[in-house]
Amino acid sequence: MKKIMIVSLLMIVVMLSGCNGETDDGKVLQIDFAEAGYGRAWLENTADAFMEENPDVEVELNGNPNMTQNAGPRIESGRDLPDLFFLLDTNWQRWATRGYLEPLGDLYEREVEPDVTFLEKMNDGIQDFGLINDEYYSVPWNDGVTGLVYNHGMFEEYGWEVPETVDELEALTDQIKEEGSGIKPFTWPGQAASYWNFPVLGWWAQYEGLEGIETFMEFDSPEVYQQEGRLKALQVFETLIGDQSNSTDGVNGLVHTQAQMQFINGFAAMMPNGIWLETEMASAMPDDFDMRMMQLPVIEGAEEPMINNTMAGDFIIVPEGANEKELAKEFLLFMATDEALIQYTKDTGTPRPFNYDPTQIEGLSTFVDSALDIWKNSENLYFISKNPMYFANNVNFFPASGAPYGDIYLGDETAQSAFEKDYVYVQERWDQFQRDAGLTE
Amino acid sequence: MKNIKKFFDKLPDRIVAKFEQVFRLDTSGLARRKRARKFFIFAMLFIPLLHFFVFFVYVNINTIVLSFQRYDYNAGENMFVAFQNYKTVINDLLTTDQLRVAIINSLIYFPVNNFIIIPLSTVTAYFMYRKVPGRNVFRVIFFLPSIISIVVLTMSFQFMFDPMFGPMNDIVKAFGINLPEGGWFGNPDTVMPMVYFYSVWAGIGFNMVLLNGAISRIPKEVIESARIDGIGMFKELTQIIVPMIWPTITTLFVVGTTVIFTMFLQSLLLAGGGPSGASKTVAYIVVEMVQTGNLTEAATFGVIFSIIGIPIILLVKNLMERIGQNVEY
Repeated sequence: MKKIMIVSLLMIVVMLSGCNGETDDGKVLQIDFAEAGYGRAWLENTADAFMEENPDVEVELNGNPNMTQNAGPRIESGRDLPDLFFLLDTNWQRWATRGYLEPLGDLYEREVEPDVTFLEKMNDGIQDFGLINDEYYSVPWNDGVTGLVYNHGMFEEYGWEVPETVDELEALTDQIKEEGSGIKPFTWPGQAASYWNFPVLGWWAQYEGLEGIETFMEFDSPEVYQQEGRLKALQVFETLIGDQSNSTDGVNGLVHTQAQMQFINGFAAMMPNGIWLETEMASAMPDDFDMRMMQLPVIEGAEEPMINNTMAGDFIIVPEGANEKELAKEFLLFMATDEALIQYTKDTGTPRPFNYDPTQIEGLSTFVDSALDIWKNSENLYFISKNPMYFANNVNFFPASGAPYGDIYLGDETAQSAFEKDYVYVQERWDQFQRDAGLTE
Repeated sequence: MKNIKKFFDKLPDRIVAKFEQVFRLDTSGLARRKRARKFFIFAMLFIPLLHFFVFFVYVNINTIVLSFQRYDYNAGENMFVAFQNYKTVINDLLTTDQLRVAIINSLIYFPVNNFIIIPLSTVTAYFMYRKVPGRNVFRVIFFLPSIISIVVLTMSFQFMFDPMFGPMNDIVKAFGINLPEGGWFGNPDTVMPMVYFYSVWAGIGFNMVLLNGAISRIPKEVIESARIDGIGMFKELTQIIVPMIWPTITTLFVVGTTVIFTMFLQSLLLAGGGPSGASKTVAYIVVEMVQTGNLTEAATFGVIFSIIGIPIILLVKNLMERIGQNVEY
């Protein structure tokens, strides 16, 4: 019994001594990341390159699809913390304002390359992404290209033209139904109807321009919900999807993998999706399947026709209680170098929101090339708000329903009624939302 | 190393002796054995008691405290707001359609669990006990869902009803039932019946195991004497088996009532809470609030539904105990 006690105590001592972030030979950088659509090869390659430059550093990776949900309790308890968290879009602001995150202001001022700071290296529209209460606490992880993906092989076979305007898109849906021998214009995941946010928010931004969206994201009053672009975008959706014959049967109950399987198996010609689609469906994709991303067709009356809705929201943070905070910042700085950025795009097929040219990378698929061309040639749209009502999830794009797409598809709502419902919903609760967010007493 | 070993060899005796000296305890063999017994009982109870205090007492007190607070993003801390959260939640309950639908969806779990799943489980368990022909097929159909991960199970169930590839579409079509508009999980009228159907299929196996265990403990003499008297299967089940396993049925009934306030995973995995919130339950909404960081409102929801739920559950338990007797054998 006593021997067991001695061995147990020694094991505890050994385990505790291993928790200080240092090995006998150097430092250990622990990275925990949401292992989602982008896989883990990109991070392994980045870590290898970082270790090559810093031979005394060992990078340990811990990936998990549920990392974003699991991170909250760990950050709030201050236990079992890595040096870096790579997480999917969630309310990180609540951790920052509670002091759970390391301020990153000094990282943003460091030079990535001669005379170019980390902040300057970032794309203009996303520079305020990690800012709250005048301090930086997070770094954007991915940039994105979202909108409408189309089956290029099918378009070639039937001689269908890629639409440049919304009117042309509407005409195309009729043409597909007439000529497509049972092929439907669209498939989409009703259980994740917010996939329609990719093109719909894009149309809204085309109509209002980037400044209009910035005004909306300030949430100064309920009147922002009266923006005409919001209604116009919903009306485009209603025209396309309110007609149920434009979608595959039973589409409103599909999860995203079911809808994507329908798309890659040729049951539908188009689907709302993003640049990650190819990596996500790689194992199921038929060999000869040829898809492309289309530049979002332009809505009538557009203020800013070339819009790419990035939907960027995934982020990187350094917990306040991390062992190797300085090393974590060095890693983030390394990730912003041109070599690391290009490697990232090679491995994931997606860009990061920094100034570099991923379109020069050779050997990417035609799908990724088409998406990167859109990223390079468009005004990239980022939804960034400093209003606590937005962090607290009181207000968003369609607050009454979350996303009115399913209701419009089923005919339970019209674009006009969904538009008005949101305004009334917010107007009735505005004082409460402001009070809840600490903006008023 | 030698010194460490010596230290540990001597440690327990030294500690015990010191302990006895400080508290001036009786050092006789009998007194020491009694103390050792008490210490053993304390050590065995310590962990469950600690668990109870941390994960029940502390968590519940903290939930009540949170329900009177609101997180302030400017101050970076929770502020006391008295009954403001209660006012907000009650107002939302009265005015928001999605919340009303969630309450109705949750309440329907009561009859589904107690008047469909428990009777079906009892009948199935009885068939297993009577070794009816084909019982092994039933065992697989009903028990398999209990041992497979719910994620895999819901995914299989979903694919069975996939609008394009699902085999069930053709089967139900033979009975004149067509794919509903939007799909089985995409139509507000069919989504909850589908979730309840899944719950029945997946829920029978678990109850069946418990009931089967209870039936097999009934003394054989009781059953045999009834059979000598020429009792039929229906009477045997309703007049002998059910009364004799009533305590187990009561337990399942009470547990089946509590799930009204805890069921959410089925709706989440089968329908993602949709379409347009049509498959959300009370627990689903609380989970959603926690995931978006709205802990204070989630706590308020929890407290309100506990206030409603606890008397209901106690009443159900009381009624069940009055209906049947606590049989001992």
